Amino acid sequence: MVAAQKRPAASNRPFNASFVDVAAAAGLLAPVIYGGVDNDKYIIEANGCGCAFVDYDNDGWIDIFLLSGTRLSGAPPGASNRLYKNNRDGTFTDVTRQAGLEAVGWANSVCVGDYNNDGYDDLFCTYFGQNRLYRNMGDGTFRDVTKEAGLIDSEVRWGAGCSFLDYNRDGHLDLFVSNYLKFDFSKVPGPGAGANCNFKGIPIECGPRGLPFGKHSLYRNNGDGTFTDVSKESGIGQPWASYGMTVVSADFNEDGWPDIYVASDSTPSLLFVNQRDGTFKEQGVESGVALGSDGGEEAGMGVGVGDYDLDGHLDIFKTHFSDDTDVLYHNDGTGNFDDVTLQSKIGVETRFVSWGTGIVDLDNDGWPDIFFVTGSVYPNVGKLLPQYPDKSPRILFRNLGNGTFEEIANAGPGVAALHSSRGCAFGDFDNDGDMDILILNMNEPPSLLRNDVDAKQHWLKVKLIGTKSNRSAIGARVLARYSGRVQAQEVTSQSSYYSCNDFRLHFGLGQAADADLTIHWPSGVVEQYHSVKCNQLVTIKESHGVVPNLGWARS
Amino acid sequence: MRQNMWRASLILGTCFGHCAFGMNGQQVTMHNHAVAPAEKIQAIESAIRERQYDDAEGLASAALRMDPNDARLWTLEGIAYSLSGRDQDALAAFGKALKISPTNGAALRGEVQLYYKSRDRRATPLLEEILKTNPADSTAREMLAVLEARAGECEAADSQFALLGTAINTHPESLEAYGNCLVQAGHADQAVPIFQRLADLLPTAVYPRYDLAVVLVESRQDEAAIKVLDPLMAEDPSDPDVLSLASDAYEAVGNTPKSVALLRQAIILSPMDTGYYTSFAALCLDHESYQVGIDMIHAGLQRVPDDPSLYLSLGLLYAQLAKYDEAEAAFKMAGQLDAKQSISSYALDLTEIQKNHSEETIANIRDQLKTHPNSALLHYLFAKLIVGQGTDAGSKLSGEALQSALLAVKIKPDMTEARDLLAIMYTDRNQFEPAMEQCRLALQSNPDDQTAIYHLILGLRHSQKPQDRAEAATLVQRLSQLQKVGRQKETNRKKFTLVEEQPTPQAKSN
Repeated sequence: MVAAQKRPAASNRPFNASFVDVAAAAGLLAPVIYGGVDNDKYIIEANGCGCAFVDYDNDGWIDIFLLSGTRLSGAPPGASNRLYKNNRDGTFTDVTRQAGLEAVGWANSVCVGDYNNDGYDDLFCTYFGQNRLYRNMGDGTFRDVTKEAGLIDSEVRWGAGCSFLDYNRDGHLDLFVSNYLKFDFSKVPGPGAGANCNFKGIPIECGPRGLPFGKHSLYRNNGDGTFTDVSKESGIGQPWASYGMTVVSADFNEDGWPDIYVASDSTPSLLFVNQRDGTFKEQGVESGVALGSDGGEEAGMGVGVGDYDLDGHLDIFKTHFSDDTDVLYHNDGTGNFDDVTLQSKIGVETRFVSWGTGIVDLDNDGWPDIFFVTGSVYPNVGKLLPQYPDKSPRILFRNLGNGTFEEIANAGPGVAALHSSRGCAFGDFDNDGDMDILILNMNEPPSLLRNDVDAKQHWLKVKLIGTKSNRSAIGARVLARYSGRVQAQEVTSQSSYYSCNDFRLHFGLGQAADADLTIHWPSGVVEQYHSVKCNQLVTIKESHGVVPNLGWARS
Repeated sequence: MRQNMWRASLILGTCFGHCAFGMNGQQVTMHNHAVAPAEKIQAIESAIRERQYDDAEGLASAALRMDPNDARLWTLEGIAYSLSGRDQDALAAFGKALKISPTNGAALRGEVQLYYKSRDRRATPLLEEILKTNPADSTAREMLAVLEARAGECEAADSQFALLGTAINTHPESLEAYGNCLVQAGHADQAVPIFQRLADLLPTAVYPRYDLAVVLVESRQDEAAIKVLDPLMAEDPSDPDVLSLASDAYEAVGNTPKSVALLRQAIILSPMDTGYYTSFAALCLDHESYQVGIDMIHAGLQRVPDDPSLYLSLGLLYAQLAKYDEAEAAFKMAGQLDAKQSISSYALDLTEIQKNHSEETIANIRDQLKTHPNSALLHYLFAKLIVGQGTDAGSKLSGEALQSALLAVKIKPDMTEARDLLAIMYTDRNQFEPAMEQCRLALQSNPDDQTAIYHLILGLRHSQKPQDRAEAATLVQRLSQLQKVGRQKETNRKKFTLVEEQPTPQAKSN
């Protein structure tokens, strides 16, 4: 149990963003079914699932994809993953059925990427059972191509996090999947009936401690619509002591090759460093991103990646269980990280189990903030111990620009509302130049937090299209220079908690009227764009320069 | 004990035949202040040999009237007094001999012998003097080692015993002293063969086997400990200390039901001994059976209502149930019952921290440190609390925390938690060398200290030396192995939950 650090005096600086939950008005009405409402019997019911902002129809307006679970007693009517098409007027239409995405099961995470480079982003969903690859047919429909892609598992596995990445830089997106643990209904005892089945003396679902680890997988894209399991030869498939959850692939050591970070529950988190020869070396501990500052294992669940201190390097924020601080790791640019949780004052908040997260500039002041959602995994405990409530608020830390953060209590009703949330995705669903937030709530409809930012702040969005690189530009790193500082961002296929953000990179610029951009494409091509004007989306095609935006209302 | 003292004849031997030879026949310098006639000396020696101590004393007194500056006569008189049980007179006679002839070996040994009989520390400088002259005098070395052990100077004692080797193999007192000192110095594993020798030497005695079992449990050789303890329990099933120790051993090998049964039996046999209740509470903490532990502690409090350790355990159990108000009340009661001990202050502070009252806690600890300035725990907690607040490493307060942590390890050098904290503080200051030094010191006390290993790895990664990189890689493996063992232990520990069953609690396997 880690005590929260003392809250510093309020900065009294205005925070120019406010969030309102517009999900109901936007038509996001279907509840996300997942496990028990008042009690969970098995851990399979507890972890929930993720969501995505994805522009599946390339109309320049991001759509919404929400995963769903089921119940031990069977799925109630209507339980399904859901695809909502953006109507470009603040509302969405449920197009799940016509898109061919109706599916029921214990879904966990989603990652997005154009694995066949056909110009349309595809979906990969992990499950307890069998993962699913949905090919975007480009006509508003998806087709389950799991079998023909060679991704059928020979055994029941608990697919957890996933990420498309081009680990061998051949221009085709490969696929990494973390597997949480080996779960068997017939072998796992009921609440309170075994080791690791009690919380503060109260019976709860057992695990993950005490349950066997899953093995992680890497699939190489053969370039013909199929994948080959290269877990063994790449070094990924070793029996790591890891309950792997959210996966983020990014070039953390800036050597031009994508690495893989796996937040791990109750075990050391893993950093697979790309050895540039088709193999990876796990270096989480040496790199300083595996453990807490005391060397202890933490319950790593969600991951945000961003450049909080504007030094041009990607830092990591990882969410944890209640009574523990979440952790902020500062990257020195070589892939060595330092735990700056306490120095940054993030440690003031330890009350809630924390999940989906992002290092995102929410008020466009030029300094990326930290946001995360929360919710208990023990719905029954809150009734007995009120300090561990089932439903809890969203947490927003604004970046003070001096290496420290300040928790904002009044960022609007959407932040203060109580839910048991899991995944969340960041994106600009209404194309108004700020970052909105999609949140998956357990056994409730999702939240869609519309961000209303003071218009005086500037911003810039960058949409990348790969040519030699994979078309989704996953792994492309953008350095934006403004006001004498440089901010790094990278296009990622998954982050937060089991979720995928808007692929358009969003830079708040504060008062800067323009920014210089440096783009490091996964292919190795580096491009520079000078004095790119603020308050616009620029679409940049690899080796082609700026191209017209797809359906962007403000172009 | 006779075995580690000089035999009287050996002392006499140094005097007989001109009183000019040391215990082992080596020549010693004699200050020839005066020379008594040889016949007088021989007469006294003869009387002593024939155990005519009164005659010997008479002859010596008479001779001394004639030759009061003859150290040999004073020595012989001292020997005669000593052998007739007149220790004070003997000490006076030896003292006079030594005043005349400070290096008189026989007088020196005689005086040492008398001091040693009563384990008087005045023997120590005399023994050191003897060993300076004759380092091979194993009797003197053994006596010195025993005295040092009894004085708690275990480091010095252990090095003396180590030099003695097998010379003490037949000396129970020395074996016991050596074994105890090794345990005190944190070398329980090295004490195992010592107590094994003691147990072999005294096969019918209980205490050597009990001591052997203690060091086996401490050195995590629990199966071996059980093999020693099972026969002891069969011989006398009513010894609660043996039952409690066996409970520890059975718990360590994963037999929680047996462990619980033995501890319960110990409580029944000795219901006023609070240590058994607190051990039971520790079992309950390990097995997340907090309410059962609380019930047992309350049972203890009915019999021993004013025991602070019971309230301390009660507080810890309540804290695990997140009942911080109850925990705080229990810790306060523990503090009221024994204001001298600082552990309840420490626990109370921890509760305050958990309730997020960190600022008040810092102020409290400042006050508590006035009462307990030598409490390593409070110094450590003070530093930890300040570090936990993310205080700027360059601030005055952070400097104060660093000093407090340094004080904690000065007071208690084996306090690995404080060394770990220092490593974290130095790392925050980018001072990797002192951070690594603290890690290495912590690992000396606890080779399994995961925090120290982790921060050593973090320090080593700043080095470009190939050997440091190699060490870091080895440490990563070691850390991984420790985590694996830790997880397994945790699972084993949690395999059993203690449940309340009327009329007596029992362990139940899940």
